[in-house]
Amino acid sequence: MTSTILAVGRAIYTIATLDRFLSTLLSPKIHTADVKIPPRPCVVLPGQCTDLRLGSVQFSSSVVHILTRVPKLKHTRLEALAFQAIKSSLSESNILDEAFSWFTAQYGFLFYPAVLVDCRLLQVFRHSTNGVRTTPGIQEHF
Amino acid sequence: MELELLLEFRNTFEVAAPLKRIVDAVLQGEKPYARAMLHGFMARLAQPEAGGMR
Repeated sequence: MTSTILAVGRAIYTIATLDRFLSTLLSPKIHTADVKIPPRPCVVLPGQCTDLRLGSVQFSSSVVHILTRVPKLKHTRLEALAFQAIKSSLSESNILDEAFSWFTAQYGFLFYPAVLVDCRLLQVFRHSTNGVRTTPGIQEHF
Repeated sequence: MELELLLEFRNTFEVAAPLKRIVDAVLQGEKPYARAMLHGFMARLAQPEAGGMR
């Protein structure tokens, strides 16, 4: 019973925090130049860590990266910040784990086909049957 | 981006040493989401500009 109450409490807190974050994100008053997105730690799942501080609210740069992909939340500046934060966190010590991570498979290299403009690679991805979810954004590039 | 960096660092010890373990994990189905990355990595290695023995 106690655990149920705690779980519900956590869920309410999460929703309320996310709502505050989204309203801040959508607010025209926000100056994204003030937003600081620290590098993403190695191999995290969305929501697993909180390393973006926006006012009193903290979110993972991975979460911000995902949120900025949502059409209604499309925010170029914030997306660029999240991308830079992720890029700056990659080094030779963690690139192997990151490249083969769940996050990369979902939101990573496939979203940046500009560096992958290669017909042979795209053919490989097209026929890949497991693990790759072809999104509308990606289909445009095929 | 990740694929480019993986190719760039492929000769470093941090990448080369645990690569077999990661590839085994993907091949055995432990990381089904990473299959596309493995395919992409192998495809890029097969390209002439990837370097190596001719």
